[in-house]
Amino acid sequence: MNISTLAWRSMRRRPLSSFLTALSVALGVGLFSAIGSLRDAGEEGFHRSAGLCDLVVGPKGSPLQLVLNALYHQGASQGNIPFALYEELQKTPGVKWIAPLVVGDQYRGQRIVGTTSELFKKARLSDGNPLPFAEGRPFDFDGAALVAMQKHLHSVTGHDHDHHDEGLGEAVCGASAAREAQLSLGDSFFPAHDVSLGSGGGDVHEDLPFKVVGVLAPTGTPLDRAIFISAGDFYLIDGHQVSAEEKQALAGTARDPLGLSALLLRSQPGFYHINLYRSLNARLDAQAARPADEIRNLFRIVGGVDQLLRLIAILVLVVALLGVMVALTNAMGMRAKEFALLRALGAKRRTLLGMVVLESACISGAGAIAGLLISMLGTWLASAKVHALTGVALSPLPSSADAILWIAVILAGAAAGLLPALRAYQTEPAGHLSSAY
Amino acid sequence: MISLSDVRKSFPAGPDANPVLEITSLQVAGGEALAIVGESGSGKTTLLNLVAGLLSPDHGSIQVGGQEVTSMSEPQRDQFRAQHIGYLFQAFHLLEGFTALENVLLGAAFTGRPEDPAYAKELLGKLGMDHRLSHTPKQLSGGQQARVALARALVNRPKVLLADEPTGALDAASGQEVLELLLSAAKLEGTAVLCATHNAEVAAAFDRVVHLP
Repeated sequence: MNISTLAWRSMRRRPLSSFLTALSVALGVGLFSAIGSLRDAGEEGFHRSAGLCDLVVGPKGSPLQLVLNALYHQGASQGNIPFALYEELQKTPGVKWIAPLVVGDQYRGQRIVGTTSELFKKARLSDGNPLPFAEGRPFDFDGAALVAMQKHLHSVTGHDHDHHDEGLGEAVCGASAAREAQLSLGDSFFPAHDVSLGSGGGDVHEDLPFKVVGVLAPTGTPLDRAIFISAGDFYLIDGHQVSAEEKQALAGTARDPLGLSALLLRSQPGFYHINLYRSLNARLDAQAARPADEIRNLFRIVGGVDQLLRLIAILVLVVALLGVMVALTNAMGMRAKEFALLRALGAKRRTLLGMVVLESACISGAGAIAGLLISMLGTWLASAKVHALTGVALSPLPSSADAILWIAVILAGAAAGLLPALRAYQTEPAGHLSSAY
Repeated sequence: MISLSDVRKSFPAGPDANPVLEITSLQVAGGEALAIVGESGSGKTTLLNLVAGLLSPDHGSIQVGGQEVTSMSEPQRDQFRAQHIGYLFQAFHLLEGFTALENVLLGAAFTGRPEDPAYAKELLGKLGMDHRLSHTPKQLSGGQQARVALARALVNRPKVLLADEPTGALDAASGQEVLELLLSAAKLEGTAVLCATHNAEVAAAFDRVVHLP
């Protein structure tokens, strides 16, 4: 019968106390780990999405809002940029690919994004692969086609244009957008105006049906939450067209109906990138934002809250470990005869010390494991909601930080056991064994 | 087997010390059973604790099996006690949460020798407890608890068996039974027995009786 058996039996003799103290540790560890997991997974997810392109070009205003709107489908668009900028950038040296974005419509609460096929063919996820298709194909409408269509649109009034003759109306759904909007390959739908009104609002554009020709596999990025149509189709949707006079009056402004909401751009690194970034930000009608920088800034802003939450979690953990110490110390009085007996049977003082420290470490370790399981469960439960809100995929799997936390809690638990262990160490057997009971 | 010479113990230590035990000379041979008789406070339990190395005398020599206990360090005394001393307490002090067999095995847990469950079972069998191996103390009667405590005191094959009022918590019949088992088991193993009791009838069952003033 070794020291671990003795410690284990001792814990089993006091199941409620052992359970409650382990539970308090579990809650502390769970809170600490969940905050860390959510933050790390969220940051990683945001950075993964930010890696899709190295510049987001949009109207003047907050670069963070631009990135959040263009890449993460959050918040309202700050306006439009002139289409001419897109044409200009297509010809600019150092631009590897560029994908325009036009937004404003939705279907069953899922944002509809007008773009070109470059997004599917040239953009790369952080793993270096293009956007994966679960089924179907991308629509066939590239940047050149968009430029040609723009010229055509400038030559006619919106009301004269019959979009059905163009043979367009194809859509590619992100994985979660397809699920949420209940769209499958081959399904048709009518977009609704005004993304801000959500699934219940907005006028339905019943003039132009869209057919789902492709569904993306989950990417763990906000791309999952969008329904992509060609930017050309977007302009053709009834209600997006204006009279020739309005076109003329609004051309080049932030309300240009034939402008673009934003551009996603991948540039050559180094000189070209820096030059592009500077020149775009020098313009009066547009700005360029680096997604990675903006996301870093975002996490710096929320970092204070994160630190506060972590501090609270640490305090909870410290209180829980103090609880372990108090519970064990309180039990020392009742266990005096047990220790005295063990000493009378030949147990050394250090054996009793080790036994109590081991007991404390075991309770803390068990609590920490339970806490990590709670954290994993919490992250798993939150992941669906976070993904629905931001498109960022959270992984509930434990990280190396969790392993370090577990070891740290065991060590802290062992340290918390030192005070009661010292009382066990000081037990004088002769005084406790002579009484009849 | 046990030899005490000029032993004195006072409580508490220091200038206000009150001597509770003074023994000029005491010898107990291997296989001999000695009863220590005296009033409460006469130092019976103190004597047992001194022999067990749980207390250190203020003065004098205590030898067990030829080894001077008083010159040992505390860890050495712990080791010596684990290997050579069996102790039977009045309240038995069986650990809750442990079965009868596990309580017996505790008696040899700190000897540094491999656990010997077969011998523990054999002892419990000899004491008529082979049908109660997996029972916990709460599931045992007082007499049965005494037998388990006796088996625990014998499981490390001690040179010396110390018993502190072993029948004090039992009814007359159970007490007599435990006493007979204690004496016969000790005789069988050639163990020296030192038993503190205030009961003259119990003392009469021993080879020799020493009165403490």
